[in-house]
Amino acid sequence: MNIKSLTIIVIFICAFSIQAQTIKPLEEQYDTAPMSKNNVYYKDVNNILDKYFGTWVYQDATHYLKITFFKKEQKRMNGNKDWYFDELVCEYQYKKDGVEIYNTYGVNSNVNSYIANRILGDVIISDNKIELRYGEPPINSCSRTKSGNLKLEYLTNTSGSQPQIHWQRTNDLTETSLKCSDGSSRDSSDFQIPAGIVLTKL
Amino acid sequence: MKQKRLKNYLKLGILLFGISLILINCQTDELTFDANKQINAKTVSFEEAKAFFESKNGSSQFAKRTTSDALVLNPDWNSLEHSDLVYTDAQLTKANTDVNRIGDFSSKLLFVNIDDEIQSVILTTWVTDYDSIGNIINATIFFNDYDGNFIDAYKIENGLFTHRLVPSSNVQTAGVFMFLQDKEDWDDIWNCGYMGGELEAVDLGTINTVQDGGGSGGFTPLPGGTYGGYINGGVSSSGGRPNTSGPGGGGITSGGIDIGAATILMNPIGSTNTYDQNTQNHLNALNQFTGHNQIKGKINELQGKLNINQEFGYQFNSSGSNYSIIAGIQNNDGTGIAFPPAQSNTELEVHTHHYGLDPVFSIEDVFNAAKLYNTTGNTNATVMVITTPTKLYALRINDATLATNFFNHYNVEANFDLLVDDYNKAVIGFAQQTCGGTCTDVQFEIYLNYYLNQLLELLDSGLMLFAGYENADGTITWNPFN
Repeated sequence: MNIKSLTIIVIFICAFSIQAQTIKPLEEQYDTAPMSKNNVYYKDVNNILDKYFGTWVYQDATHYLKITFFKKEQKRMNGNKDWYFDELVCEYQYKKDGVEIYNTYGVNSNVNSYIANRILGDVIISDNKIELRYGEPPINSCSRTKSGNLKLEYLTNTSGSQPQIHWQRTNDLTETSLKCSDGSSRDSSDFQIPAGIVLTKL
Repeated sequence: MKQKRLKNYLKLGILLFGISLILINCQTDELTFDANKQINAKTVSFEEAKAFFESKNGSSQFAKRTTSDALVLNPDWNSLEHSDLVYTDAQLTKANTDVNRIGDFSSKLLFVNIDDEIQSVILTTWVTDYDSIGNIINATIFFNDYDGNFIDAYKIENGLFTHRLVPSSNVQTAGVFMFLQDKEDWDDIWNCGYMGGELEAVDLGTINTVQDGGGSGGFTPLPGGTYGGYINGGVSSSGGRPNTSGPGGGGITSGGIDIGAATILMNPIGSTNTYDQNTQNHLNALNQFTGHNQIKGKINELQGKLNINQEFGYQFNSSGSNYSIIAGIQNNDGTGIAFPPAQSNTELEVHTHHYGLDPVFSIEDVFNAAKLYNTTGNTNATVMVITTPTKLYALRINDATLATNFFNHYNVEANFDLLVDDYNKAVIGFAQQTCGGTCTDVQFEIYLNYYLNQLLELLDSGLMLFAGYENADGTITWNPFN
């Protein structure tokens, strides 16, 4: 084998080893700092997000919420690291006193546009509990000044009835001084979907 | 021929690798200590202590210097005793010693085995104030080696270790326990007419802990706290301070001073290192800002407007050595402060945060920092946020091209939404998950800023984060947050 052949083989081996992507459980994503992540895919290998899949409904005299969760796989984090992860995203319809406030079904259907639905995330707290980043679409504005966290707890079905999830969100302030591109102010009103509810699977 | 070319490539590769190593090693850290350090300390027995001392000169009395001004130590071996060493199960070994120097001080020999090596110093305590029951209120302690050479010194005020004293002419090389350093210029400090004339004080509250960036070995939580907290916390936990009531601290026992001194010996501060020229330029600019009377006056004012339901701030437009100062517009609806559009001479925007906001630049602040540069074209453009009465942060333009790209990309609304989500995940989310609900406020603030720094790098923002700490004398010390 001449030196040229050897060099080519070494280059190929190096190239493959550099490009090899490591797959790690999604639960480990927050264990290491962002800049230490490269060529890594935090995958929901234990299918913890799966139990939230499907359409869930909450209804009382005032509120009606229908929400459908599904998983976006191998989403790439913005930035200069090859850092991928699975994420729970959703579409939803919310009515208040019979009036439709939000309906995101079919509106934002590519991976990044799900951010426009404002409810998404990937924090695994336990087998039956996850945490998502929470927001709601603005009313007559480009964005809201509020944000929050949404904890979803899958309630173990013991009575043979339909599965349920407990929905509990926070209502946090963000700093918003920027105007929308049309010059209007951002929406500083409170969230409309109730903070604490139990949804039942359809 | 081909082999010769390959050899040349190999040589070039080795050269480039060597240069990269040198460049990596040229950038050094701030004055820090490692609170996460696993202290491998063992007790030095009385016999070992005596043998160690005698091994230095073959005598139980030590007089190494050959000049007429020779330092003579005369230990009282009957006074040998052990006392607690904090942060470890080992004990400190100590013995009183006479020293042929005139002055109102007392000296001891301290012995502690660190990493299987006996370390021993002369601890000299110079007390200036006692309380009514004989506890020490104000004092200075000095570490000298057996040769009489100055190693380090600390000031105790109101019973607390408050300052480190370093030679004013050579702050950059004044390390603790740096026996190997050249001290030719200041080895007479033991005698310097007396003690302290050539030293300057560094506030222990400004010396932060090393921040571990994680890595293959796993992520180490940041400890938070300062070197002063490390020392005084050790003294208090060992009962080295008598119970006091009322504000203003109290006394410290002689044993408490020994504990503090031993705590320093076990985990010395890293030497103050130089920064690369780029970082130093940033620090010089920040020092100029916060050393400017007009700006500092407004910072002082803003420090008094924290934790309320409004944001306050000022915009500073440069006009020679003076600034025209424009107040930001305060909003009452919970949104952030709005500054007037930046002018070509706008250099600095300082603001507080609304009550309930995290003690870290918001993503809008980050975006505004890049925007300020893009509006003014001034690489000195700086934004600051004041988080506590003694802490503030600054963002500066570190790479103008990247900052421009960053601004242009996120100046599109849809992209800005992505940026907000990245921030919520990579800064807020990571800080919350790392803390797991158990962090102190100080630790959470460190984590938030740590992860913000990571995000700035991850997104190639071209921005650099700095942390400022207000000293007791009102000056502000800046360091890069890394």
